[in-house]
Amino acid sequence: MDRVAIAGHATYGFEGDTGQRSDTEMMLEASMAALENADVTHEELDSVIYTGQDTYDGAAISDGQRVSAAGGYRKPFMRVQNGGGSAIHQATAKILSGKADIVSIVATDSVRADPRKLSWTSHEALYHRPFGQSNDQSFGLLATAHQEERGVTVDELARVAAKNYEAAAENDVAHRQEAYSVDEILDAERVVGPLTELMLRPNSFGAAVCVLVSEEVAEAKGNARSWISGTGLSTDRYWYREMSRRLEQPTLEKAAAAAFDEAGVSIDDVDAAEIAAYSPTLELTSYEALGLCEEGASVSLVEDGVTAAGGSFPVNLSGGPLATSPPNAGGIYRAIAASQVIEGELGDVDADRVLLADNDMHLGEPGRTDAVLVLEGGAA
Amino acid sequence: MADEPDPSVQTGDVNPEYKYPFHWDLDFSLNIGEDNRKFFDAIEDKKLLGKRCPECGATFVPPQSVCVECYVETDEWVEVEQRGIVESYTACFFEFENLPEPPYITAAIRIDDSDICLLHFIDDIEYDDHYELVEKLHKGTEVEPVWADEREGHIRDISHWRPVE
Ligand SMILES: [Zn+2]
Repeated sequence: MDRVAIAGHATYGFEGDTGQRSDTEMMLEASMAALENADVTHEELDSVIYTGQDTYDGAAISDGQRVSAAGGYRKPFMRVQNGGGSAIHQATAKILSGKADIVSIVATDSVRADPRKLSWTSHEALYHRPFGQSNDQSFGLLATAHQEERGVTVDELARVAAKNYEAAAENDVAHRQEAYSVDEILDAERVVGPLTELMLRPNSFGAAVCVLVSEEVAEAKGNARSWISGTGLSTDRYWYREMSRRLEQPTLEKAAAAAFDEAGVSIDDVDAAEIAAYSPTLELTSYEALGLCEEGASVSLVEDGVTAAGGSFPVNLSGGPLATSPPNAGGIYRAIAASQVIEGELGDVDADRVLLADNDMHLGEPGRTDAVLVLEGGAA
Repeated sequence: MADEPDPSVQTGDVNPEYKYPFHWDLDFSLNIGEDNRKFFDAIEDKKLLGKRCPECGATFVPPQSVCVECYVETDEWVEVEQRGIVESYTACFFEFENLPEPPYITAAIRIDDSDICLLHFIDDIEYDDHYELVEKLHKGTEVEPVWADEREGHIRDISHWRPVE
């Protein structure tokens, strides 16, 4: 037994507001739909993993309010704060170790916060706190380093965003569903450094649930939608060092190597990817860290349309985080999108193998954790 | 981030759409430890201190109690030169409460030959329009601290850094 299947998934939202729903209501709806989608009953569910952050769900540490809506009562229920990709990694480990056969991973986003206020609590480091270090500014620091060290222009950054919006326009559940042009992206309000509002993710509200099952369950029920054949995790230090090294995204590289090793494949065997890139800089540098191209060649992948929806290696057929970005549910949603690409439900690609690269960078880039999953097609 | 603040975020009455305002009001304190105390004591006297790793010789400004390359305790204190090199920077155009009026620059500054950077503000830069500010500095720009007149052992005892003429 070495495979875990994604047997079901569902989303609620994602938009600029919750549509008058509470987080538990959205979670309940998505959770019930995902179980039905997986052909699994609540009684059969062995364990629930909740993924979210205090600041984005408005409940300090306690998961208590969410247990019932997630169907987690009288079952092991745990929270993973490093993002949906990490939560799926842990759920997979749980199933592979024999601790569970059916695990659901749930997440929801419902809290709106005043954007003028900066939460120091989620950006630790004594010497950094009073300087306005927000998640966006950490992307700004990287964007500047990217421009200076690799000669990437602001137009090229805008083209990465435009590529994603073009894909998002075809995605029914995308938050930003407009195919913004390069000019519109460049003309949008500046936020940090060269990055405009349309080069940074929106805050989406909604819920996402994914149901994972063991190979035995998938065989018995015939409910595998895609298979998780490899997973990897890696975490970086929280500190500011050489920005060049940060552009290399060593944790993404390491997490991907672990996932590839477990799946017994290389990037050459992968057909498409969903990448949690919170700015165009991070998407371009991710291409390099994942081995899609040599260092400095990532811009040409966009210019040549390789990573566009119709290209030979589509990246973010969902539109990616620039189009849909619920901070808590983002990783789960991107895993769902990756599975949908394999299922033939998203984009027009014949993909046997799709890579998901997620991280917890909605809190900022330093000290990040990267999670990589390799998803494959094929019936149980 | 650049959205207009949602009025429902403000504390006050429940608004007609039944968005329920709430906030956390938690005061925290933490012991900053011996190394940080020594650093902040020195900063009050306009001195910058770092700590060195006995194994690889890396210097950490601000001081770190452990070298995370070698995972050994740093042991040697050094007073470092008050010069920094900009590793990266970003101009922020968004207004945060209790922070300078935008645009302002936050930079990762490598002090003397430190192995790590310190995040701080850079100011005293002349520019015409706000967007020019984005391209005003460079990786490698040399900067020096501008000390606050009144100091109290806080990182803002350095009011900001400015490019060296
Ligand atoms: Zn060392």
